[in-house]
Amino acid sequence: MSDASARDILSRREWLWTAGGGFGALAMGAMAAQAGTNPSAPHGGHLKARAKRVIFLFMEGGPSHLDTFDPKPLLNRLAGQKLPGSFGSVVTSMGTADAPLLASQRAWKQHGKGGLWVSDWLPNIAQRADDLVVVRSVWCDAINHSAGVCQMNTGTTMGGRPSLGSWVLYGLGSENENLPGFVVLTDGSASVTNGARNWGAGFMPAAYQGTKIETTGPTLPGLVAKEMVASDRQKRRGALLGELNRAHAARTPADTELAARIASQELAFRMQAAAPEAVDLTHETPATRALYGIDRKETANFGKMCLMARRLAERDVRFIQLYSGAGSRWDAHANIEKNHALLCGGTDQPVAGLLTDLKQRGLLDDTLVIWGGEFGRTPMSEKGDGRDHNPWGFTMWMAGAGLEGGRTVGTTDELGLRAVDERMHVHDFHATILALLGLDHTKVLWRHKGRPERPTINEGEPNRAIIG
Amino acid sequence: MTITLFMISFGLASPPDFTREVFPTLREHCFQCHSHDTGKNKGGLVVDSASGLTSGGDGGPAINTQKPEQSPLLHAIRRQEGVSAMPPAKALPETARTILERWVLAGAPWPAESKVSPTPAKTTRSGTITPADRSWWAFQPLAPTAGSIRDGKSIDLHIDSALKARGWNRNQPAESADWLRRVTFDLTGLPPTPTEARAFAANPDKAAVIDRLLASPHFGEKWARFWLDLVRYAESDGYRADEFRPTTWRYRDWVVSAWNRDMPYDRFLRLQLAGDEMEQDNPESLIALGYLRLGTYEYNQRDSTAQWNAILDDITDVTADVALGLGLACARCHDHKYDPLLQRDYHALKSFFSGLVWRDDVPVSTAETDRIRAWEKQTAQRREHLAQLEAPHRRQAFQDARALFPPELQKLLDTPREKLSPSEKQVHDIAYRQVQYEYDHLETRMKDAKAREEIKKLRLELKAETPVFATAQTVAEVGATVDNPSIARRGKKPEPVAPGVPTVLDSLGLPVIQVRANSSGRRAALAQWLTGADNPLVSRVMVNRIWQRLFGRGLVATTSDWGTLGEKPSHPELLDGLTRGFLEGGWKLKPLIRAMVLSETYGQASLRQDASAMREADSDNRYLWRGPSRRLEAEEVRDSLLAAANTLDRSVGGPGVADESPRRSIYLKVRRNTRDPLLAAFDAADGLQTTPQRLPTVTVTQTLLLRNGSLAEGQAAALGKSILATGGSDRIGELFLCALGRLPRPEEASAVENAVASQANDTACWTDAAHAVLESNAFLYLE
Repeated sequence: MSDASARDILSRREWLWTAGGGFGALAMGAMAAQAGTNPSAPHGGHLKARAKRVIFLFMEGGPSHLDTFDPKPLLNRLAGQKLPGSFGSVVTSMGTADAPLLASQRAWKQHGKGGLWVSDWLPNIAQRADDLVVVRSVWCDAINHSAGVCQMNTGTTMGGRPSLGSWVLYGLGSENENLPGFVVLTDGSASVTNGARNWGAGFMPAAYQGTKIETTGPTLPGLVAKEMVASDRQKRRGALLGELNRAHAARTPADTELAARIASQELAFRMQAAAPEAVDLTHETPATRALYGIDRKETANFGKMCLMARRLAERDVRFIQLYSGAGSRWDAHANIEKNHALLCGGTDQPVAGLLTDLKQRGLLDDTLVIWGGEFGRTPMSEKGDGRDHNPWGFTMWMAGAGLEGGRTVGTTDELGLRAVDERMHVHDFHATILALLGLDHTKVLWRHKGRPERPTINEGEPNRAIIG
Repeated sequence: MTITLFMISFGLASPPDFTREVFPTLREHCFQCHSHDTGKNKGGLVVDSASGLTSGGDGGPAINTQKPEQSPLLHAIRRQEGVSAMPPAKALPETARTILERWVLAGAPWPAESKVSPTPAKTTRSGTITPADRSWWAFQPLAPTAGSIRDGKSIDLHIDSALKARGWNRNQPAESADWLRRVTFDLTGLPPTPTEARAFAANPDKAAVIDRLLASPHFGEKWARFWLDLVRYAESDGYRADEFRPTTWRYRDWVVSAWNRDMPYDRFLRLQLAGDEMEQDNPESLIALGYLRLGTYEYNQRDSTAQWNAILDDITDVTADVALGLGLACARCHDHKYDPLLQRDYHALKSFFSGLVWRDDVPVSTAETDRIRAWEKQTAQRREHLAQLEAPHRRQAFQDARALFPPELQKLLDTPREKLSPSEKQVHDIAYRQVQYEYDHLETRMKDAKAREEIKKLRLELKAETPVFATAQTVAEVGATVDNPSIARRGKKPEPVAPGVPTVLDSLGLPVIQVRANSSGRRAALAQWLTGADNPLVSRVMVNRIWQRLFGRGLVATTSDWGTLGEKPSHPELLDGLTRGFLEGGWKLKPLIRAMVLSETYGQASLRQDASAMREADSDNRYLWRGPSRRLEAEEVRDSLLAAANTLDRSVGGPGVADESPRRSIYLKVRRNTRDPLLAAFDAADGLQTTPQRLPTVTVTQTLLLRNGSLAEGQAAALGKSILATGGSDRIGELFLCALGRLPRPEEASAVENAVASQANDTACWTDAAHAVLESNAFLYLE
């Protein structure tokens, strides 16, 4: 792109941002058009969109590709030996480069018409094999969780950049005016590694940041006092606020930021009703609840989150991110058998249920579902029965978005240490996600400190093999 | 495309036919991202000409004509380790790959000049600065014609003449209550108190108010926050553990105090960059150097070499952003694509910082050193006893920590520090922190229960008796001699770069480096150069930042980007005149601020009804045809909620406090991974990257937190109760004075009156009225 055209696209006035961007295309579009302050968004439609929204199932801590989707017969043959020199050396997080190789104890079977290999840890997801595009060749730059989770979310290992969800919201806007356009749900009370900055907007306006919805108690931050203050008093406050603001606005007729704020205040009233309703599962049928495993103790928690995700998808929330194992619980440095059996067991049916439910409701065609963690795990053992972090080659899968399922893309080497064919850096993976949403990763621009910033930091390519 | 080709014979292994084989292969597989045809130069590389290939991209030349087998292009298409595989998505078909391999191995012969090889794009400038680059306005000295501006009247003259040239004029003055609210927030971040509001109504002496505010201890709190945004201040490590930094607040307090004392900006910068080298005997230096410790730190990064390098990169980036107003970060990996900044310039700037080492728990005064020594003496025996008990476990802890590092770092940890080179020492030190971490947590890792309990008990006893010593996280130098950082280019030997200034500014002369006994003297040289009177950027950038804070928009709107993608100044002579006045006044900021807020331009009303033409042509208010208006900043929202109810604790300084504290927001603990929700929602800086200007957003989360959040609820209740308790005839007036620092307008008064009319003696009723006022736009915005 030439300098001149880059400049044309870039907003000169981002810092005067006034639209209610995160919440609703209506507010954003209208305000932007009125104010003329928003020349750079939303501007999707560079490419033909295959999906309108994303559900990102983040297995935090790094699930083992070697025990789920990427079987390695050689690993079991060489178990107990050191990594052969031909595989090269690596700097690992826990100094396991020379540790003995650890066999996978899984039973493997091919599933579906595509004959996809899935281990016996994920029997229900295996039933959806023909929906999955299993990408076995993702790699990243981080040997530790913080940097890894940061990169899988923001493209870079250092904090401070907008998360992928923020870029998507910026690029496409939101279609539900009563709900946040980027919603995050986490299992349990532990904080996700890095906390809220994983879904932060970085140098873009806060309007694009993700909103964490609580699965128990008040749904949104700020909804807590609703029950504390009687509704007639709330009405009294609202009425007086309206009058004061009208008096204020009468003096400032041309102020678009104030108009946006009044709109957001009205929106807040609507959202107080809409947000709890969106994640209220009480009206879901027993059959649906069972489909997600909500009727079983082990799967109830993530099952509820997956069902909430479907409800949010139905309501056109643009980017929905679910964390399983918040606080690095997939991080099986020791006793991977126990660790992964528990976490796979807790998520297998909910995830399969989500795919089934999206499909039967016709939502899977325009929803991109993504599964994976910040990295995979090493073929080398740690502490005898665990595996270390593996950023050099690991598995993510995608489903929906009209993708032809039942296939794998890319390979790792014979021990699953490094990606070999169709090597896909996180930037490539992100570029692919954006492409499926109709966004050209080179054309989603935000000007910051003299640089035209892009979601994949001027790198990465959409993977043709995935897109087909 | 038709191409006329004249083949040159290379006489090497027979190359494939260029026209029939090579060129079509390149066009089919590479041009999409690397050609002038498509306008794409991914990675800075074009492959549609011989010069494109040999001058190369960000990673250096794509073709090595001397040693063709070492050509990165060859490695890329063979998808070898260590280079980006090309094409990224899918390996080349075998035939295509073979064609290119044969061609590269034959020396990549390219036919003589043809249409395929246009002039190299700007992006392939490869290490040169042109006279045109040097002529960019921001690199020029202050205009001699600009004079020296040190008072409000001169500011008004400049603004008026630019308005007049457009046939426009200035607005009428703001109502005095609006002006008071504006200037009180702008200078102290707080609303005027009811007493101050009444006093000003009785005696509207603006100069007196300004002098009172400039002398207030809260002035420093407000303006320190702006500096802390720039330097990405936070009190935790970031990354996963996000460990709290218990002494970082001393840096924050130092910044507050420096603003309150009106420390000249040149000295303010020098102390932060090189206080140890320039004011060795000044205890403030230690704390000011905390600037160099504000970056993030990952406690379990085993690649310590890369980690240390990234830490130095980060300091380089922030310093260029803050002091020079230039986004140099791009040039870390390649010459800047838009600005005349070279990759070499980046590393030359970084080189000034290449002697740094971290120092923790450094006593902030000699008195404190003495106290610590005395305590050590007093506890020597017990500590010795503990050390003996711990020794075997420490040995184990060392082995365990060491084992997590790759072999070359294990070797560093095994070598006596004095035998290491300067750069090895630095990497050693950052790695050794992980050993120290194990020592500090020794009892948590011991399996022998009896020994563990004994050590734990002794440690706890000792800790309970240890006073809190006044210490700081600071920096020192690794020694008089330091190693230069290197530019790493693929396939080339790393190239060390000596300290130097950006080439485009080299006419200013190079900094003189005076090596000291234990210090390279590099940072002092940089600080001297930056704060030299002829540096065209540093003072002017700061003057512009101050203007932006007060008028909402910089004279250069892009306050941290003075490069070619930034905006040119709206009033260049005013900017230069103010800067000259600032320099002549000895780099003092309070007189500069005083002049600005005393100007009639600042004092204009922000509302203007008769201005549709100006609004149409200049909706940004670039030419200041009306006064500034803005939303309260995050801290101002929180602080003025507390101030309205008169529950704000106005004490100054000290360690960070919890979010629930009634103290001013600047004193809340700043944890990178856990931000205060209200401050985060109202666009507070995140402490991760430099934040030159906050982006004021309007979000529903803000509304919800104000409407339903516990802080607003509590303050509304307190305010409502006190209004009810006044018992006076003008409760509504009192409510507005407390919440907004002004009396209500008639329509506001009648709105509240209607709302409370029937229940004027009900606490809930006044709480609700107070809540509505605290949530209103009149509260959130300055006019």
